[in-house]
Amino acid sequence: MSFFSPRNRAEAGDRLAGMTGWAAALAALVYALNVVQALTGPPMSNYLNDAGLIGSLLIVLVFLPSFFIIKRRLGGPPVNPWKEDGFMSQAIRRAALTGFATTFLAMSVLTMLDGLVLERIAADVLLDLVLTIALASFALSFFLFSRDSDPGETL
Amino acid sequence: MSAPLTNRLRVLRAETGMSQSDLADAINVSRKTISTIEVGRFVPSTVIALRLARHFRVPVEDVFALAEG
Repeated sequence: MSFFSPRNRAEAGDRLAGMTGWAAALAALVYALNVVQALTGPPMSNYLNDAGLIGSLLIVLVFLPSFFIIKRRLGGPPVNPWKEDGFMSQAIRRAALTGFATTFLAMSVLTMLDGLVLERIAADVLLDLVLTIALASFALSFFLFSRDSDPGETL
Repeated sequence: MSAPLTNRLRVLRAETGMSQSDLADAINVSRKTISTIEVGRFVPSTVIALRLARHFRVPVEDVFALAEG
């Protein structure tokens, strides 16, 4: 059983859920690099730009194709990790809820601090910051909820 | 999330000589779902609970029970 050949739909759903978490973490890193890049000058900003580009390419060239291969590997309707009934699907739904709550809280705080923060940050940087918070909180809470001290197969 | 729910899944599996993967395949869930149910880390949906009970041909109360206290 290789990574791309799960033994049943539920295993495929678990793998897709895990990949969603890792892809979100990588996307959060890319957006975070954009924010830091806006706050620094050359040559550091050039390095950060290159690093962000590599991260974006990884998502587009590695994660997305892998996602669709596993999603359709077993035939029948595509596997949807959000709609499965198992442990990892529950973790991803809880993580989405936590990500939403964290982003809402962060935006509320930013709104209250408008004179201190919003007037000093360009709109595109602010959007990158909010996306970083949303994706990072989703990914971190997913890893937290799906952590498992699984001893492996037992009889 | 700690749930006030106990289960006899490991016992029932041992009695029938099934591995976690065998049971996962039989009721169409992942092995991780079975292992996390067994250690009480994941509270399964009613559908999974009923599938497990049906698989072992026992009432669902013989698989899951509310913890005392």
